[in-house]
Amino acid sequence: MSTGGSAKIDAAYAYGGPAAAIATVERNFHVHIDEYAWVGLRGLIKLIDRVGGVDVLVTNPVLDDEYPNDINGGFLYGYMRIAVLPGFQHLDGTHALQYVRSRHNDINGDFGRSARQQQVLLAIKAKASTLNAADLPDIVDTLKGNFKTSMGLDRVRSLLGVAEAFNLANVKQIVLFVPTYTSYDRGPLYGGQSVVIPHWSQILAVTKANFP
Amino acid sequence: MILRRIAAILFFPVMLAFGSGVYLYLGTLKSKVVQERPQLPTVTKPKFVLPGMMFVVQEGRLFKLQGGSFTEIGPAGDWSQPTLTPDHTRLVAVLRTGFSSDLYLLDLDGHVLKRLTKNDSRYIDYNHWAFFPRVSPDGQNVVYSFDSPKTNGVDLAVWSMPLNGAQWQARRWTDPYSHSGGDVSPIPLASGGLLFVRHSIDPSTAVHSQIYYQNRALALAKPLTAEADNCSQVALSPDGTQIAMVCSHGKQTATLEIAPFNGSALGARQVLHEGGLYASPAWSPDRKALAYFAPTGLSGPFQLWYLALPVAATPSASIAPSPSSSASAQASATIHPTPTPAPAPTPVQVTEGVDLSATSPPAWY
Repeated sequence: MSTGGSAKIDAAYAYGGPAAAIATVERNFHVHIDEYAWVGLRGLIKLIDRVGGVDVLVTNPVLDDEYPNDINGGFLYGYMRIAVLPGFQHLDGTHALQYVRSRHNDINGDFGRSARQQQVLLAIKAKASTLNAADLPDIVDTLKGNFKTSMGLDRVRSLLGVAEAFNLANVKQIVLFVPTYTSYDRGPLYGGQSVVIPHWSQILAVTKANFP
Repeated sequence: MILRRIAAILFFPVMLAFGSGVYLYLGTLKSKVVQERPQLPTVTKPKFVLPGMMFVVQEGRLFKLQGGSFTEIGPAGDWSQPTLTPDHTRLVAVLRTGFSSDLYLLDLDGHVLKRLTKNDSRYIDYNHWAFFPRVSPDGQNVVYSFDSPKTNGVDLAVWSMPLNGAQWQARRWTDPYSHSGGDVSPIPLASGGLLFVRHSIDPSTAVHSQIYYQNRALALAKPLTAEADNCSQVALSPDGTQIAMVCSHGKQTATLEIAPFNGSALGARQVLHEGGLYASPAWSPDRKALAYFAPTGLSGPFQLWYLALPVAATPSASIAPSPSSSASAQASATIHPTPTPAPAPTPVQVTEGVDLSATSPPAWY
């Protein structure tokens, strides 16, 4: 952690906000982070609803008896049951969030969830390519309180062009799944937490193959 | 002073017109996706009049489409997946409430005749889901996907219960892979067998869907499509001789296909359309056309489409040898005929501006 000590990487944001998260990523991965954008869970729901929903192929039934029931107030650690049925469909914000956030009944756990998150991000990107600068005020108004970024409106506007430019057909999804690229571990070395250990030789090989 | 006042009075309308004009012009630059909201089917006029009667769903509301106009039916609630009894006099549909869903028997005007299952509980873990109901060709049983037993994750298995009986009489038919989401879209066959869609997850974390055939409860199911084809959303023609299906082949778009079916095996597959987001195909009563859901263009709310089948698509193709009973991807990959090209028919868009539920196949007769 840039704030000192070791923890799971997402703890950096909890300890020190965006600055700590950026510094931790830069220190561990030797990359420069230009900007950040943070969207809260309610923000994701509102964003997807504002752009009229996203089109997704739900590959299998996503059923979860321990889905967090923390969006609509109430007990923060309460849970609820969800069922997102399979097939091509037009998801509203609430159901898209359920699809990307559920992990308790996926045999791939967090990796399955990551794959679903990539899928919905691409669907949002597909929708974003149909937006233009005139839509930004509406979008900003929708995300009020659920969106933080280091970018100004001009910078966001300039990135819309980038979003339009890249072709979804050229996007390749890679999941660093267990056991080929990663393995699970837990114990006193990791503060008793369940962690994912990277297999760097395999990860670097697949990275070089895709980013020659 | 007077001149200034006269100038102000003269210029005020010009300034007002200019300001309003700029505001209205900028408004036209907004993309349609941000502006448009779907309409209720009942306030729209279908662009094409379908033969017969059809039931569809939008945002938990049941709609009957007949003679080119929609009528909302059924009580308020989160309804989905209506299906007709074989005599076309009643519907079975799903009602979601809280953390569970139940099957209900309705008349064709949406009046509830009977609650078939009771899956709600005050204890969250004791709630259950029931989805994808279908009534057997003899009208005696309703098969559906049900998340029980929940001993190793929450996965849907296919169950069957008497339509005029009680839920305790239900029998489990299939044994899904754990943590896969399970088995869905069951279709009871006149022979007493079952078609359904099974989900699996391979070691590389890729999720697959395959159409399976099973001849009796808890027997070994055999795959009719290959793992890599990722076929699902199976629909059986009214005479039971063809199936329609949607196959994604691991992509984010799909092919809409049909194939002859002899009761336990598929014949040569025909790709009717490819590269779209097709969902929930249903056969026309005369089996000469399909209805399905897809967005207008590349994305957006799902609309109803009608596709007249090419004459060559009638079930004259020979049936492939019966597939092996192995569930392995290797075996299933070798048993299926390659899709054959067919002249692409032109789909006709039926609805416009609505947001029909793509996971509720049209019930059509």
